[in-house]
Amino acid sequence: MKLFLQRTVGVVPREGEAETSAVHLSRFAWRPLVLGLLVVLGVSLLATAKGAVNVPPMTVAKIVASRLPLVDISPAWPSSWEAIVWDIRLPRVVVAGLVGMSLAMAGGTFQGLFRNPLADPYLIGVASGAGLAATVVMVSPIPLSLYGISLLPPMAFLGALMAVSLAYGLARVGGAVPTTTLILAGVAISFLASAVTTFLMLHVSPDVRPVLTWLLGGLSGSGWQRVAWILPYIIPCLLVIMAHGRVLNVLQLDEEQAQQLGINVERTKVMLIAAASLATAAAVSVSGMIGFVGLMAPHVVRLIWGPDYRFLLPMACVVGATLLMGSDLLARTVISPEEVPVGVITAFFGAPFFLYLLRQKKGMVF
Amino acid sequence: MDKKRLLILVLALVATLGVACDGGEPASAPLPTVTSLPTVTSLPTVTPLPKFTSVSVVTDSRGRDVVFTVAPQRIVSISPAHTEVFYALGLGDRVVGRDGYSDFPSEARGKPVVGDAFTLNLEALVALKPDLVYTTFEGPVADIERLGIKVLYLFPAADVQGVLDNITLIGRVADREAQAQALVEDMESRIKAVTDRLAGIEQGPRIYYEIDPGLWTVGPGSFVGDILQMLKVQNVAEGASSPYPQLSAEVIVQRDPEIVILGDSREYLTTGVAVEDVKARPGWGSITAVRQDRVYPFDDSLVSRPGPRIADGIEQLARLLYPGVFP
Repeated sequence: MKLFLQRTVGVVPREGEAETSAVHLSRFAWRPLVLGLLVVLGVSLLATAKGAVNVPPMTVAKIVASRLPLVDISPAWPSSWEAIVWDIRLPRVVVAGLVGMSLAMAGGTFQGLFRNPLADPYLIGVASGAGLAATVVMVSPIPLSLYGISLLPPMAFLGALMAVSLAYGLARVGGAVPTTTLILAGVAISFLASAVTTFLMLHVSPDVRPVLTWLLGGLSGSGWQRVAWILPYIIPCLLVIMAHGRVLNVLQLDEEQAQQLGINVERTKVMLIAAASLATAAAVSVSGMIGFVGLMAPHVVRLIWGPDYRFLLPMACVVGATLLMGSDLLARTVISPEEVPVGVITAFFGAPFFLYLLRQKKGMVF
Repeated sequence: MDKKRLLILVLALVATLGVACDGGEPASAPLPTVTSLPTVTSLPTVTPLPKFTSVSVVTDSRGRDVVFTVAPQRIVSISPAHTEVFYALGLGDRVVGRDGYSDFPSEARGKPVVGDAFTLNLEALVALKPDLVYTTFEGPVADIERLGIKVLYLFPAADVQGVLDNITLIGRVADREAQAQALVEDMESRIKAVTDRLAGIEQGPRIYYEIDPGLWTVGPGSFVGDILQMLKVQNVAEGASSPYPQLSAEVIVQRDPEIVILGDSREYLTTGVAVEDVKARPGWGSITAVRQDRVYPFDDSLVSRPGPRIADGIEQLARLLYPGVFP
């Protein structure tokens, strides 16, 4: 607690002094955030320029520029290049960035809200709910698409929200939702949904491969349609969560103390759980379950810059987006023309880096 | 000290129980005394043995010899391809059980299921009293043998010739040599007819053969990939490092297939994709196959199962790939 106050608030309470008396917040660190945004921009440029098919960087720039309004460049490139850069690669990079951002943001929020370093975006049932819904769609005669629009993301999204709502409803005691009860209800619902998913996969449809491919996660097949589908959910969630950085800082003390400090704890919890779940549901609905990013990105920020949630949340978004865009770039290119599941890359390169940080700054994780 | 004493006590108790169980029965039972020999009233009738085939010895994929003195009468097939082989050789009525994936011919679906190669239900298997279990996966072999049931474990055939040899072998051990020979000759001649007609073709169309919507495909070195090679197509997965690679969408668009074969079509698989969805994938609009409307659903099990239907599969593929040559 002392360490936390020192990092967030800049004041170490003296022995015996009430910890909550320290209220001066340290100056907001803009510089790493701006630098981080530049890195995101750089990685996204690199990721758009590189891929399994080599398109000269200048041509990539021209293809992208030709799509902008008020720019008139006559195409002097094969139509396949245009399809590759504009229809396949660029939206995929954007989706990777948005998904990485959402997962990191949701992970950070849940870690803060539940005061649990192991919390990840999938903790309270989002992923298994989405997985179950997607499996039901795939093994049932429901068409996979309607008028050329895939039904999988909306159904997965609904499944995710249903699972979280169920967990929340079950954990509700009177007007309050005790955090531990919510986590346990969420975990139980995850197991239940996974059990039904497995049963459906094995006994209703013997051909489980497409379901498994989807559940394993990946960004293959991301188009502008998916960007348009997740953006309306992610942006409001982002704003709501960012606005709660300060409240999350106070919540780190204790829910009771936060209440005494004038925070409507239950209302805050509902807002944050809803926003984080909505963002995760949107991410899961287009990319399946991508591990590591949501759990680790907030910890990376915490280890390097400290646990001030006002800074941690936006910076975790930057780290998450960078991590996933970079990993997906590797996933697409390391054994080209083949692909590696992106989750393998995030864990393979992310985990050693995280362990290095952990060794460098022992005992400062949470 | 107390714990130790308790432990000794428990051990002693267990030991006594063990002795009691082991030695109790025989000691208390009176020795049977032979009073008179049973008089033979009639000789036991010998049920006619199944026709004696020449003893066949098959070396399985572990290098062990499996000896067949009589043709198997109660067969459990844990391989969809081989369920098809048994039926094609007229042994359908001897198949008493199957794995969950064995769905062809349709009569096979009426047979009891014993799980599949990965989740075999040994109890269900034993209950069927098989005298031969055929499997292409080593996992359950030792467990089945321990139950005293004969197992023939052979890797799936690696190429078309391997499938034909395998059918001949099954014909031999199951006393269906003539049928096997006829089937093999028929398949051989049909496949030869296809390759003969393609003799004049230097290089066929560029194709992408999808086995999963995650853009998984068949590369060179896979069973289906080799059939495609035999049909002289240019596979967009050329140069992949594994037999079943997952391709990047960029590569498929860049290599621009003239024909897309959907082995994962919803027409044949509940979890499959629809042609319209494939055409609507981001960036796919520029692919020749999509522009020229040559995205074809195809029953992948025809060629992915190394069984008697590969000749049908090869003929159907040839018709899709060379509509001019095979009207």
